[in-house]
Amino acid sequence: MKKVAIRAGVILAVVLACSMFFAQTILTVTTPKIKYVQVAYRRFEEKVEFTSALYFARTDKIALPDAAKTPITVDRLYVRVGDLVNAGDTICTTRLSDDFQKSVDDASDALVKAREEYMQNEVANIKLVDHTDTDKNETFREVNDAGAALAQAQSEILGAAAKLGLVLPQDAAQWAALVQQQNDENLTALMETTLVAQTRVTAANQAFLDTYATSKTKKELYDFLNRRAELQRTVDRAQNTLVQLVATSQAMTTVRAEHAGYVLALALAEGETYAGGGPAYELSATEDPPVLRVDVSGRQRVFATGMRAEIQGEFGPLRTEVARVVREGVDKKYLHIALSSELISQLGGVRAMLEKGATVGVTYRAQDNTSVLPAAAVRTDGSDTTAFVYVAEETDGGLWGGSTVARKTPVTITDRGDKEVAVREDLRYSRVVYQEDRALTDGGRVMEYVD
Amino acid sequence: MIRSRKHPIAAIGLTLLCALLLLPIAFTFFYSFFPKTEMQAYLALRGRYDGSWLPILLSPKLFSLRQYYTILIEDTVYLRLFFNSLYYTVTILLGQAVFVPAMACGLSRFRFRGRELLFFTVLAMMLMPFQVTQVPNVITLRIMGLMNTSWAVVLPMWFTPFYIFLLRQFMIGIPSEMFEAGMVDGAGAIRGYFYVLLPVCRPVLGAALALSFADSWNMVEQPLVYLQNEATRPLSVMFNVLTDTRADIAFAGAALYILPTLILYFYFQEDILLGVQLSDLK
Repeated sequence: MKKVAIRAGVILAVVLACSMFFAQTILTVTTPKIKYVQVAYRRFEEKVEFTSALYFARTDKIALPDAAKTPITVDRLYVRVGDLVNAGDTICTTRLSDDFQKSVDDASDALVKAREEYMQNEVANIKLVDHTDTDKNETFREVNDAGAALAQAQSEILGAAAKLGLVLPQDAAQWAALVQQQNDENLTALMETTLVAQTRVTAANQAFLDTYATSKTKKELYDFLNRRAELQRTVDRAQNTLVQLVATSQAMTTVRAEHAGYVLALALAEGETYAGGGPAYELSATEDPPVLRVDVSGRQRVFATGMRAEIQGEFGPLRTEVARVVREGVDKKYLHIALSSELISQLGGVRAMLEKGATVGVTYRAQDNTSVLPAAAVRTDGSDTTAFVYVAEETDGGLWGGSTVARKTPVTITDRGDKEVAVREDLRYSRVVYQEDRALTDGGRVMEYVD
Repeated sequence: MIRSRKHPIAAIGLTLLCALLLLPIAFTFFYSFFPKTEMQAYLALRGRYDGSWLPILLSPKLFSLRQYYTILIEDTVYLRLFFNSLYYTVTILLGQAVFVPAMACGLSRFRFRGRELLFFTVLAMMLMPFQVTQVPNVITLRIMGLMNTSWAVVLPMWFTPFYIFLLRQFMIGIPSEMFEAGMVDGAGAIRGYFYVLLPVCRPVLGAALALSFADSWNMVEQPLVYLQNEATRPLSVMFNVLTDTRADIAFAGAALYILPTLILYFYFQEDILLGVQLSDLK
């Protein structure tokens, strides 16, 4: 019996000693280790990255309407997409197409031919010209001369009146009274000359009418005059056509910017033919500065003007802000990110931005303060509505001593981001578990992880 | 001795009586393997005063050692208090081992003036309950500056009158010729004490040790009065406080607390019986 008692005593002593020695070690090994965070109470912020494009509110698509009739071949292009041009700056120089040149040559040939025919008609009927009805011709010439003299006198008086600040009306019958009011010798003299010319025209017309009523023209002469008038009209038409073609060519060889702005698009290329059918180039309106436009359609976040934005530049992020929030239609929503000239130059200029856009990070900021936790701290039971966190609480076991336990606390998520989550409950004074080395149970003992 | 063959009814009756007396210990060990939830629900029935009997649980729904894990590993406060008890007990036994046999020897082997008065004082103190001597003890300890220290519990126990009486009564029965034989061999009083008297008193010393161990192991009043700091109190005092909030470990803790006493009893079983017999207390 004594031996049994001794053995039992030894075993009991060993068990108790080992328990005392290894208790903490076993506890440390078996207790879940946690890391917790003191919850912040602030506005939820989340930086969202977007791909943006340079945007101009108003642009002008400028076409060359004459190109539809006379296609042009671009000889040399003086601008590129992204360049800033002023009004009148040369966009490109062109050379006219061969067809157009041929039409000019044809028009010129037609004019020459028409003149030749006219001259041939004159030469062939030179005798008739000599034996034309002198009276009628003379009166006709007199009418023309008187008319020319009247036109000359009117032109002089109009010029003299303009110098004196007097605007004469179209009705010449009122001129005498107006000139008399001016009391100017030169003007008065010119008025007299005009009146004399008017009288002469009246007399010449009357004489012509009288002569026309009485005289008879020979048939050959009549035919000749008709033929001459017709040939004259042909010459006039040929001349007008040639003049128009020459004027068009003048306008088409140099394409100039209609107003100042950035060149946003070019349908012109060196060596290529532009035949109309669309705008030749596109210019921005100078009064609207460019912005970076970000498509936030379908996003649940409510972005507002003034939110911080960062544009990824070559040497780091560049700070700016959201200038406007624009809605287009029902579904589309855009943010306009403000761009200063300094920002544009730091981003490589409008050309570079038109080519590749920019990555913009917009910092969404909630309107109200809430408890903001690391995303890893908020857990769900499978559905999005039943979210909870584990809060580390110190329990006082009285004589047993205190311990730290994890308490399951339900929360309501108001905002969720990649790294942070905002919840409605006030957890400011709670220590929320965000990392653990094994699954936790509600009320289970935990231990803070210490390096 | 009652032989079971001649007196079967007595044997059966005594056996039943023993079983009844051992029932609490058996339940302690048995219920220490019941899980926490089941034990808490069972103990919650204690407050029921509707005349119904408390049921006896015969087997756990789930055998569990979790309670032992809790008190041995998870929360070491039980072990700290256990070792407090062990510390006080061992210290008291060591002190008693030095002083009690020496005082008993003095009161039995030597004749001096006032010996009977001293022995009478020992007897009187043995008969007085703790509550009577508590207040003078407190005053004395305060004067000595020993209040709220472990010496307040240990020192008074070094001079327990009962064991002095027990050993003294045994030593009186030792024939003086043994000492004279030792004196013939050259042993004086001290050597006679260590080499003649103590070996002869081994049985009663064992009994006294076992009984004193039980006394010290189970003492409640002295630590309750002399120690204000709960961390320094032994488990005998703090066990109720511990199990007040953790009913699940009540039986496991009790079972563990009984074990040293049981082991010591089994070791000194014969000496206890012999010692009680020899001290004429039956």
